[in-house]
Amino acid sequence: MARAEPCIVGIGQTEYAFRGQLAHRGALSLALEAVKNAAADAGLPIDAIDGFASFSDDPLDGGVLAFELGLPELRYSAMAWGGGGANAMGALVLAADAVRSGSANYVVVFRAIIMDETKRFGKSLSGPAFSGKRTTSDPFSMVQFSMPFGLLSPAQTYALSARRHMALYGTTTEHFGHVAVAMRRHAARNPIALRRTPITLDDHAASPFIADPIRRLDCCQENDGACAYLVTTAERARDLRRPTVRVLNAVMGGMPRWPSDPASQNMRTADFATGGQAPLARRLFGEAGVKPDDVDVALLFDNFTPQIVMSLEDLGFCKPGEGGPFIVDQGISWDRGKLPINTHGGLHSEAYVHMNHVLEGIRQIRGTSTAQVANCEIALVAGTPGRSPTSLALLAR
Amino acid sequence: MAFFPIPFHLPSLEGPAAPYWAATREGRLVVQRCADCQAWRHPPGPVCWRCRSANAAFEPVSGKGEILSYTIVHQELVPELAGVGPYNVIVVSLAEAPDVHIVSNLVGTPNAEIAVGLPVEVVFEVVDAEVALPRFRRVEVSS
Ligand SMILES: [Zn+2]
Repeated sequence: MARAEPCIVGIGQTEYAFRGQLAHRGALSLALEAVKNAAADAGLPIDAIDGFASFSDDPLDGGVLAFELGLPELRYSAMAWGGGGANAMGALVLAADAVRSGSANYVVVFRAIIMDETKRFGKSLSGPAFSGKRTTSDPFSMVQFSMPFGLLSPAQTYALSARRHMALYGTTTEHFGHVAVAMRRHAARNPIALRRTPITLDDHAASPFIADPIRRLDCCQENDGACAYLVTTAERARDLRRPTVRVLNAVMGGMPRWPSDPASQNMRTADFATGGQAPLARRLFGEAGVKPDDVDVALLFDNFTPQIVMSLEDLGFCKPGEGGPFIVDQGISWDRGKLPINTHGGLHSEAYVHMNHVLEGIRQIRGTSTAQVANCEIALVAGTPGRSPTSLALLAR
Repeated sequence: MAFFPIPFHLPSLEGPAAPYWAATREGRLVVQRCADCQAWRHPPGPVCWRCRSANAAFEPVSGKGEILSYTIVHQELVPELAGVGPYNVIVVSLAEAPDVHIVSNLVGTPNAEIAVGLPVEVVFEVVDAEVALPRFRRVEVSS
């Protein structure tokens, strides 16, 4: 192969804990622990790390981490720009490009999350309310078209695409319940998952609405924790201790006319009941020479369970409108499903660090998941649907 | 009667959206439109997404449209919502510009009767001397 092939050679993380429980440690401490664990997992001296990449405006940058770790040489520090958690795989795009081009040799992709009260996803997007005041000191803000009408949280925003999907295709809240049950069933096997108690469809149906049609049991966790993984070339990977995981392809991008922040709801009408990832998925598969049928496990962004339904359609695993029936008839569980999804329990039940999806994809390719898919050769990992830019990756043995 | 008894998060009356909110205060719904290629755009912005012209005007629309989607919100995320109870948020696709979506609320119809595709028309709720918010009400279709 003419070009250096990017590989993932180490993974690291901290414990996961419900929101605020690790706040006393600070994000820097969590990030450093995850980075050290990733290097140890790879069997790489920390001194060899010479680059960092992250996303979602992570406040820690490569200079900060290199200083704390006393790295002899920092050669690369980059942020996947825009999209928040949607651009999680954008950081992998950067790291892969960096090692391919020789800009750096060993790039760590990391993300640390501490959800204090001002950063909770379940709360208002705006922070504290200010009664009767103008929306914002920034007259260019788009939220002045959504917040005065009470559209205040991600659950409410994502409920809108879910409701239209139900109206267009007959998708039901029970379909969402099947996702929730499967996520929890996977988490029950995973000792590091935050929510491990199995649930039933009845439990889901009895769960209170947050923003109808989204119930509490359709929502992801709010938590603290950090993840990291180490990217290098296939040539360098041979000297390390772990089986290498190849990055078949990683892409970032967005649907035409898809707003960066979906709050104003001004994506095109035809795209409204989608996650806005279909063109990106076609590029992901086309460039890699892989088809959806070739994927053995999918780590899809389950910030809210309806997103799994739409992701299945966007990513080409089924046709538009068939996501709900696919989940019930084909199955998404690790042992019985045609397409196992989120075998760690997902953001729904393991934790919400964005990158814990990537770590599970790597474990599946290595063969070390707690819900291991037989003969797992190709994993698809997705960033958040519904935002732009979003991102996708294919990992392989 | 106000949809939310205590207003919160009122819009900015300066900047590119000022003509939009000035019109709602006068009881008119306007949408920004490219003066060169006539493409509608919302929220207001400095450049046409289709022809990239900076020439634009705010044009009146009928205020009629249909519910593209909706949610019934059970959260009380700001103190002003305490005790308000489950309330609806709707997205309206405008008749003249179906790709223009207005986030708003449906007034005068029980939440249980809200449906995707429901025909609606704009009404204006005056908040104070400077602000009126566009809300929508159901249009009875004569058969
Ligand atoms: Zn134009």
